[in-house]
Amino acid sequence: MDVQSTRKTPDPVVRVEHLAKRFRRRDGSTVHAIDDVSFEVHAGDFVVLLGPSGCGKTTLLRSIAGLETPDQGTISFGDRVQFCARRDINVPPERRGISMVFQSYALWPHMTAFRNVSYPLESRRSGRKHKPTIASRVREALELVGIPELEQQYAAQMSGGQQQRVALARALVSNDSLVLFDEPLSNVDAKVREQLRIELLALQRELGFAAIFVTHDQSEAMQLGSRIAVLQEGRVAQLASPLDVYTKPASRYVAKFIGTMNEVFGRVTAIKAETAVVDTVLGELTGRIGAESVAVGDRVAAMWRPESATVSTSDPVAANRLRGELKASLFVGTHTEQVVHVDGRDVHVLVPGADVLGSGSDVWVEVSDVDMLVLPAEDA
Amino acid sequence: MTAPAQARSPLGRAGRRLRSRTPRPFEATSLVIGLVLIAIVMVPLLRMLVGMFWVDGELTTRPIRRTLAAPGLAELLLNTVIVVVASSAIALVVGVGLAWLNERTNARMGLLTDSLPLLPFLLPPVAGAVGWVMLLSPRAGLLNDWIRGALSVVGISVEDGPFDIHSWYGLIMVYAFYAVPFVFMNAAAGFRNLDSSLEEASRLSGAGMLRTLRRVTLPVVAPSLGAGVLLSIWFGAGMFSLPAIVGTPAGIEVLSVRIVELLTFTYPPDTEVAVGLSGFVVAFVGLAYWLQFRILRRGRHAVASGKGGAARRIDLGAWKWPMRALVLGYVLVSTVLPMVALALVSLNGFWTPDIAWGELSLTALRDAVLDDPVTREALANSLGLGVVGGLVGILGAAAVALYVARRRGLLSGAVDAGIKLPAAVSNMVIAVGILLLFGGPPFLLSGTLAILFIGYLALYLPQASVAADAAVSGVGGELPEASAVSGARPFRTFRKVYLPLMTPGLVAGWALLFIRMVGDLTASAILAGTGNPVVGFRILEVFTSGSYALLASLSTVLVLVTGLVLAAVLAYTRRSSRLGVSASVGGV
Ligand SMILES: Nc1ncnc2c1ncn2[C@@H]1O[C@H](COP(=O)(O)OP(=O)(O)OP(=O)(O)O)[C@@H](O)[C@H]1O
Ligand SMILES: [Mg+2]
Repeated sequence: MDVQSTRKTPDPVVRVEHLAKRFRRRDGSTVHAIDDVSFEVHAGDFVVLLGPSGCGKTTLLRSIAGLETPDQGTISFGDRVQFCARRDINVPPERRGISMVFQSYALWPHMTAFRNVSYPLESRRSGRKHKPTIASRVREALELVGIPELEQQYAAQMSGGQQQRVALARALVSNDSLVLFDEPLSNVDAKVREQLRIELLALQRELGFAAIFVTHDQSEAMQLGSRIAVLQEGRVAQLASPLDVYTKPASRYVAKFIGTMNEVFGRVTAIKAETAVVDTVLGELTGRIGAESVAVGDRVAAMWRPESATVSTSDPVAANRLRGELKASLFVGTHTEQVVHVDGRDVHVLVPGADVLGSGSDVWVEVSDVDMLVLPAEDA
Repeated sequence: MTAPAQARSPLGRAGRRLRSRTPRPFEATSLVIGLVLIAIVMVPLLRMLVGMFWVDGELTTRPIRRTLAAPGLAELLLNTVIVVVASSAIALVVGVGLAWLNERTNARMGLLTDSLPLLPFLLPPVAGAVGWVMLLSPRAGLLNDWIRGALSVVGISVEDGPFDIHSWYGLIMVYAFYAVPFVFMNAAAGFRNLDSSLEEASRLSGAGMLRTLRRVTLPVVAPSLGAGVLLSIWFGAGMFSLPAIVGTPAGIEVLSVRIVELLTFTYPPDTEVAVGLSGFVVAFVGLAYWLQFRILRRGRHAVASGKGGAARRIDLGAWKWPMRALVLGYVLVSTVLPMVALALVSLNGFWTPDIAWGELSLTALRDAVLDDPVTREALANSLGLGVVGGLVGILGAAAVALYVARRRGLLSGAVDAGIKLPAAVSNMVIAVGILLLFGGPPFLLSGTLAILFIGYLALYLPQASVAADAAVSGVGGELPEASAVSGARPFRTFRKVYLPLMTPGLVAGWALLFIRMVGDLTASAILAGTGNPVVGFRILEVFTSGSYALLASLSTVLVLVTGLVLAAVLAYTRRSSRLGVSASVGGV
């Protein structure tokens, strides 16, 4: 992943350059938890770090917070360098001036909600003196997250969702330009999670802080992020808007991690401008080239999303057509999930509304060449 | 244990059947064992309380009046409070420091720093006290002599000193060495369970490392620290061997020493005042309990569950090795030095700072221990009592623990509380109560091994119970149920599931009891005599007669026996992949 070349005039809120962090496992082997990562986060950005378990999301976030010491690279906030391995700079977390919401809430059990939220104001040099100001800012923050009545409660006397709100208030109270989130919603139940997501987004818009949010839930990432960074074994596989990550995945790994994909392997026989013709076991397929490196003769995967295919019994018109037998048709309310047996393999199709075809019928699966994606085979 | 042949019931009723699976005879036996164990503590205690108001068949306030009029009472109380409070305060600082370094920073060195600070726990205080006397006696103390030697190199020459173990600071220091493990153990557990994101959140809020320690880390683990301090106060208030060996020569008298003196070195024994003074010990420990309760309540501590947070250690950077050196230095001074002193003096044959390094031999050790009939008898008695007492204690406690774990109810709760009660009462007090009850008519057990057996059992019952609880809890509820569902009858379940899983924990518990009983001085001083000598009593006797080589030899043997048993049991429990000992040493 390259550093963005278009330098904007105000410095980015966060700039990470060539960051790397290795861990030594007990057995002596090394893990590249972060492997040469570079990216920038601008004011108002909501960047989601997304990836499977163990891909280095938490390590990256903690490195930015100063809780983990990377081995290489540079981290700067605005024009202040926070970490630089080469120049031996490492600003401790308490002087980085950012906030973080932890997965386990990390509310101090011996303090009330009020004291928890006032703590950052008391600890930061600027705010230590004015007691009344602190009190009013704490109340404001608690009101902002919708729990002004819980001021005097201890953490153990609150529900999980309420605790998460206190943790949020604590992160927002000092009005930092950057707030980090490490899977903050994974400990609350689905309903509350949905609600908190909406509120969090509204707060972020209102207060204008930049956010870096770790999750391994792709729907959460799509909902929250203004940009999504998909991580793969310590590297950024793609950093783009949710729409781009979904419709123009940079690799098979990204394509398969976000949503479901049908895929079939084959060899490129011809390339015409942005499209490639791929010879596969299901016949010749034509699709959009998703990565620069695809050339004639390469082994590639042709991929398409279930919802961009259609199933019909009439004569096919689209660029790609597959003849098969409708094996199953599951109506789930908003849409119907269909499985079509094509040449011994299952192809998934998703159609809106109820399905009219009975299983066992011979059908055509159609995919347009814009919806068919051709990506190098060997990266996932 | 018999197994009534129960008809297999359909799955729907399995739950109820499993709970009532324990055969009745087994339960009844456990209950009886539990009640007997409780009785041997409770009855003597009651007897002692009654003894304060009821003498020779009539109601009287004479014991109380005489106690209050005891010579030097105020000084006695003040001395006790000073020693106990000062040593507990030092232990708090040192114990918390060691625990923090070990659990929250990268200064930890695996098993080494995990277990070494606990070592004094397993070194009988008698041996430690003697070792310290040999090191820091003003003239002949080995350490003093080495320091003088070092000083003379730089041109400073002194006649004696510079340190004197028989002094306030000497006494407080030795108390503190023995109190540190209590604090360390509890604080370490507290730090270990602390979700490190609590500290990280504080750092990100702009608080530095020290402010985080003061405002977040320490307040969160405060309950554990409170428990540690309480234990160290409890330990200090009833401690006899340290003040007898270190304090008495300095003219510093504390409650426990006076009590023993009144009971054993006074003729006829003055039980009335001894009982009255024991009342002060009870009150002192009770006050500590109350204070701890009050302080913790004020903080309204609710332990927050540390979800998800893997413990992250603070990187001390350049401070890592200096801190490690500090920890190792502490262990060296607190434990290794006194052991070395004991070994040197006993190998040398007599106590002198001029050790004849070339002539060290086992002769003196053999003369002092094996060829001396009284010592031999004392050693045999102690070992026998340790083996049998430990076995009876841990098995009894295990039966009770099993019963309590499977029958949660009012009665079982009461039995559990009762068996752990002696932990709240000073050893000294229980021993006095046992002497009062079993020493006189109708039992007339005074001067027998039986009264020592009862005394040891009563004194170390809470430790046995905690160890047994740990062993039983390792088995859990589902494993035996799985066995039952697989068709195993109760006896088979007990033999195939409970026993193998509990054995390592029970062996560790036995070792702890054995070590405590063999190294005991409190009960031994009060309950033993020339008719039933044990090692603790013999050490005291030798100490009064001033034979230091013999004293060192006896202490060395004690350390050796303790160390061997400990090493063997540790090796065994390690192999069973359980940290049984460190778990069961805990909780006292
Ligand atoms: N302290 C450590 N010591 C050794 N290895 C570590 C340490 N912390 C993380 N790792 C390794 O680094 C890699 C990245 O870990 P990280 O916690 O960043 O993953 P993650 O993406 O946050 O995963 P999850 O979604 O499960 O939280 C993993 O392979 C992990 O095993
Ligand atoms: Mg993580």
